[in-house]
Amino acid sequence: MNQIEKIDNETNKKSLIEEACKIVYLNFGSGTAQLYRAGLKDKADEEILISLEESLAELIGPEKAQLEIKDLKNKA
Amino acid sequence: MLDFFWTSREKKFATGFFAAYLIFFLIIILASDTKNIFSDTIYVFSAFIAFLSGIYTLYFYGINNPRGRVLLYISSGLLLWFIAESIWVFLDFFSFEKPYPSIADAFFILAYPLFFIGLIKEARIGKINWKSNRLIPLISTASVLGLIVFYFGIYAAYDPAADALSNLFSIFYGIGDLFLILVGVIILSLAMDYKKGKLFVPWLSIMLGFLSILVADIFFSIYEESYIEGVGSIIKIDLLWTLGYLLIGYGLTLIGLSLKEMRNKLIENIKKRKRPTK
Repeated sequence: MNQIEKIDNETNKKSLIEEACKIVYLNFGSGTAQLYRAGLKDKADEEILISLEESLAELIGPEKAQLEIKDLKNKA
Repeated sequence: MLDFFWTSREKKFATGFFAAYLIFFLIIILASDTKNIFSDTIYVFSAFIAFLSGIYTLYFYGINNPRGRVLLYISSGLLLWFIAESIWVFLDFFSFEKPYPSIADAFFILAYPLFFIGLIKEARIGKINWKSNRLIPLISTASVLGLIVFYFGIYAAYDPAADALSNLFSIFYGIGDLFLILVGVIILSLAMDYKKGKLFVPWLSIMLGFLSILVADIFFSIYEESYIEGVGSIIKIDLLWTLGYLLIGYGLTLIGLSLKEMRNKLIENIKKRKRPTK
């Protein structure tokens, strides 16, 4: 992987984490969002998306969770 | 769906507490033929419980969180209703003034726009799905309720023999109840969006709470004089208001408890996921 691809991946990863944390902040509150961000270290994108969708589905229902994840993928 | 109420020790306690409070008040109100300070205190305190429930859930979101601000509007509305109820009871039992119309009504009426603003904000944040197959029955039900409220709460509420202030308050209440119908439609749409999620039951409870208060308001506008005299079976409409406050409080408490539950699960969920080995 060349230097540019590496920077691109890191930027995308950061924006995925940012968007995921925004979703958690909005749906679970500020305290949870801080703990969540700390737990995202060294996690792959797929893991972040799957775990977030599972938790969201339990809180706001599977349909809304899918919409939130779709929005997240579009933004990140 | 019934499992929802028992998923944690706190939810069991909350369900038990609100149910016991309602049953206790039901016994007291059914046993009374006239309004009395004891039953009215229990009734007023139910409004305070609803307010405290809003503050409890606000703690989980945080005051700067957009949803936290929604809770702030709703809790502020509940606080105003608690103050209004307290003033009413004070005037009814401890002063020689009629409780209606009075300064209590200003607090009652000011709460309506706060609920409305809070729920409009929630509708925007939550991106409600206004599906057409849901919208038509909702609008139809809201229209029927709106006509009933308009007739009894605004048109029939006007009394040419009464003073201008009484008429003004009566009409404002009618308008406030029309707001409540809109609020009910929004909350029901929110609840339906959260189907199969933990937030479905709490929002349903909040919607039923506002509906109960709306029905009580309609009865009050029809039987206003008998209610103020404090005798007869009409005083039992306090049960509907109390039920309303308790359902709203219960729903708000459940939102907070669901957030608490899910916070722990979310963190555990992300921690246990290991990076796949290549």
